[in-house]
Amino acid sequence: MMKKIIFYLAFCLMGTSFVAVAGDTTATLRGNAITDDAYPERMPTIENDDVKRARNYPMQPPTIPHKIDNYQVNINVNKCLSCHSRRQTEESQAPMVSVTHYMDRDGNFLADVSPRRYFCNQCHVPQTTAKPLIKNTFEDVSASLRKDKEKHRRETASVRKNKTILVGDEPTQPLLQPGFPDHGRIHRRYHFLGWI
Amino acid sequence: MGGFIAGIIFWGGFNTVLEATNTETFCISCHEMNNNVYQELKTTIHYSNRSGVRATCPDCHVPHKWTDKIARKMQASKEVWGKIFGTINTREKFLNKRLHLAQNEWQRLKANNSLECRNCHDLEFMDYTRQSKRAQAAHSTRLESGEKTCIDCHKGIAHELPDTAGVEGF
Repeated sequence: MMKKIIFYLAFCLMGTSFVAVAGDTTATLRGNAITDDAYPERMPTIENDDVKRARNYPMQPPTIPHKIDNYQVNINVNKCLSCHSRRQTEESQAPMVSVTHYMDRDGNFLADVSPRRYFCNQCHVPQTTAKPLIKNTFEDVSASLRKDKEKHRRETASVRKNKTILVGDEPTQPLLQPGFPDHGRIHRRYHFLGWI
Repeated sequence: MGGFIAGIIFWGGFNTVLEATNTETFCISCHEMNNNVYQELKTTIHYSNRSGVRATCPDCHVPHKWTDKIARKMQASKEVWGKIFGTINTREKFLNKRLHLAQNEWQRLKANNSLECRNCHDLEFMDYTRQSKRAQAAHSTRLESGEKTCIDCHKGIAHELPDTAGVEGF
C-alpha cells in the first residue's frame, strides 16, 4: 500500500515538472499566456538599402538587399532577371546571377538560366528589420578557423615556455614535448614548396 | 433661344455620358475587365497603399486633357466592337490576346511619353533624396535626360505581364 502511494506521488511529481518545463519554453517564445490573445507585433519592414551582406558560409545564396514586392516570377516573365540576367546587367548595373545558374545538373552550360534555377525565391530572400526571437550563436567557418589558429598559437607558445597547456578550464596533455621543434608547424608553413 | 437651350442640353448630356464612361464602375461592369485586369490591379500599390491614394482605370488608360480624351474615346469604339463580338469573353481568349493588348498600351504610353504616369508622378516634384539608391540612379540619369520614359522600365506594375519573350527590357 505504502509502495503504491509513493509510486503515485512520484508519478504526479514527474507530471508537474514536465508540464512546468514545457509551459516555460512555450511562454518564452509566445510572450504571453497561452490563454490570452496576443496583440500582433508590428510588421517588420523590408531592408531596402542595396547594401550587400556577407554570406554566412561560402555556398549561401546571397540575400536580396532590396524590396521585391509584386515581382512576377512565373511561366511568362521573371522580373528579377529583367535586371540580373546576363543580357540586362550592363544596363542595370546589377550583379549578374552566378554562372552556375546557367548550368544544367550535369554541368552543361545553357544559353539561358536553367529551369531548375529559375525560381529565385526558392533560395534568395529579402531581409526584414525583425529582431530574431532566439539569439543565434552560429559562427562562420573563417571565424572558427581563426579561433583554431589562435588556440594553436597559444598552445605552441606555452610549449616553448615549458608549461603545461590549459585549454579553457580543463588541464590537457602538452601537445609537444619541450625541446622538440614543432614539425607540424614547419610543414604547414612550407608545404606549398612541396609541388615546386 | 430654343437652339441655345437645346445646345446646353445636348452638350450637358454628352459630357455627362462621357464622364460616366470614364469611371472604374463603368469599366468593371464588363466581366472581361472585372475578372481579369481589375483583380490583378487589386494586389498592387496603385490599388492599396499606406496613404490611401489610388489610381482607377481611367487615371492610367484615358488621357485627362479633353482633346486627347476624345481621341482615345474614339479609338475605344473598337473595344465596344470587341465587347459585342466577344473577342476576349473567356479567360483563354483573353490570355491569348494579352500580349497584343499589352503592346497596344506600351506603345501608346511610349508615344505620349508616359503622359498618364506623369499626371501624378511629375519629375519636377520628385525628391531623389527620398528614393532608394537604385531609383535615384535611374531617375536622375536616363529619365531626366529623356532617354527613357516611365513605361520603358515600369511595365507590368499594375497588371500581370504576358509572355515577355522577345520584349525589350526582359
